[in-house]
Amino acid sequence: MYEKEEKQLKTLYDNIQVPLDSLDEAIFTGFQKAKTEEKRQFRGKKWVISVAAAAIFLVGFFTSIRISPAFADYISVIPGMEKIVNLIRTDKGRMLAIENDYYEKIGVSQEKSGLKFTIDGVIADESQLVLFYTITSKDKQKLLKTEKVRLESLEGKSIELGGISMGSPLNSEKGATVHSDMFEFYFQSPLQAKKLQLKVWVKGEKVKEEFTVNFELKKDIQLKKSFDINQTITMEGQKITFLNADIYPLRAAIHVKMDPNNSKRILSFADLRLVDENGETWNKINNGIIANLISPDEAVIYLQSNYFREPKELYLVFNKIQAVDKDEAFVVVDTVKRQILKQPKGNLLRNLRVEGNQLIFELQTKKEFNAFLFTRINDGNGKEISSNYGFTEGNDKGITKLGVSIPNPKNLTNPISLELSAYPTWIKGNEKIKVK
Amino acid sequence: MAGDEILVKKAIKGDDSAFLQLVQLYKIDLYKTALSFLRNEEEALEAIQEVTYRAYKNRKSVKEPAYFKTWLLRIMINYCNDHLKKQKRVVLNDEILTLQGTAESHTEMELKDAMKGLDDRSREILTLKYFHDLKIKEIAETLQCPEGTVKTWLNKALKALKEKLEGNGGDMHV
Repeated sequence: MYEKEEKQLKTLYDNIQVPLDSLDEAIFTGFQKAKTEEKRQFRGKKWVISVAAAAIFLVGFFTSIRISPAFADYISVIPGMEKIVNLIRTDKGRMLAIENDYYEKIGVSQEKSGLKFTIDGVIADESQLVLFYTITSKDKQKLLKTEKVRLESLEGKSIELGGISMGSPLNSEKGATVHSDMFEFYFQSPLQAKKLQLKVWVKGEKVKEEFTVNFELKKDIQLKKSFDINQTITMEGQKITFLNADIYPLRAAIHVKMDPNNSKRILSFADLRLVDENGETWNKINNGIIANLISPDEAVIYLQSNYFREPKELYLVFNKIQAVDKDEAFVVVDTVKRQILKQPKGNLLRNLRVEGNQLIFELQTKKEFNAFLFTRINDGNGKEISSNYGFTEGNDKGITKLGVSIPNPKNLTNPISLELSAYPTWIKGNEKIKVK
Repeated sequence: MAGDEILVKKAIKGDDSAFLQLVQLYKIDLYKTALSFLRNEEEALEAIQEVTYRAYKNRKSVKEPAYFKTWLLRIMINYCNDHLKKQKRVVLNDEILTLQGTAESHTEMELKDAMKGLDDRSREILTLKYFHDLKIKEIAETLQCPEGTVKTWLNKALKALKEKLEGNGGDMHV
């Protein structure tokens, strides 16, 4: 009955040209997109918005830390405390802050269109404020993001923010009605205001609301403890001077200066740690801002805090430092040709891609390497490009995906040069410096 | 077929290279389907990207490894139908695209136009039956309906197509 049509139909697309390369590219892009989302969901992705140009941050994946039985008892008598402990359990300094009753419960909220934003509590010191929040929703949400976070003073003394670190967005296939996380605010000058205002946009798939929540700090802010060090060490020919240490309740800040005549650019003190007379150790901050670069030869490194302990002796100990030859301290790329033009020996960076406003690299290492690699970015005319955010995503096969946002990558003057702040090559030694 | 089923099982368990191998295996089918619905290369490629994405996200929901291909095609067809609904307003411009297209024989063009003028259901059925050589049973699986229904729909679709073609032909050859 329809033989003619059937035959025509059968041969209709037999002779078309299939653009195989484009086809493979489309498959790969789709696959990558799905893969990225899956990673985000399972491993969490940490976004850091850096206002100060030269902050370095590290993405840490939660590892479990054993809680002492006494502490477990302590948290079990305060309702709602478990979720907060879950957020900070990898940071000994913050755990100590809670144990020593330095956490301040706030419990104020605002409700809008079925969403409720609550500030559960804060831990604040002169240099930093960690704000714990919970969003509850009447309807199940698959995705909830927080955006445009601002912290302002209500008392006239303005806040000089150096950066904000935000947690991962809620990302749930099944949908969830509660999401808890924290914001970290870093101050450039000591926090003085007590009455504060938080503004934040919460975005779901169907809702978008701005919340304004006022709160007041009632606890006294504990002042930092300062120690002079002034000691110079030499590791593989590189001279480094430790100037001083400021220990705040939320972090310890170690001020170091490198000798300008060093042949290598010192990038990151990978295993710098505080050790007391009993051998108890406080490592680097494992999630958030881990250092501030004052210049290529001067930095402040942040460690977990032992503020609430009174050690008899305290040392800075380290065995390796990330370093590259000074002429290799920049990665240079062409965003149009999608080529990496220059990078340190070993070609560990691969597969440069431009996705929307993001430059994405793959970093090949034997062991997982989670540090974000870059600090300042300049275009072909030497003009600094402001990057709004960066991210890293770990992978089981030793490939880390690194992304950095760049406004309008198609209309930039190439080549783009990215200054390294971390890289997986090390100088090694054995150093122990007395702090106290 | 057995080899494919092993691949499907691996893909469901989380083996990414198995998943990619499967998409490679069916990419031409997927592309042709996309092209038959969307009628231009760029959109068809976009469809491939999106379908790969959706398939990966939902790969764990494949219940019957033997029907992986139809499962993929189902995703593609859903995508194309949604896309066409959104694009309804620009359909007219497609005539220009067709004119700019490569040398197609007159009947092919007529056929494609006639296909485009069909309802979603008929177009799906014809695509699956003739472009992909699927058996009635497989179509039933893809569209998740009884085989009898497929047969009825197929008949209707062919009838509608014939009417369109004859109508068209009449107009054009006067």
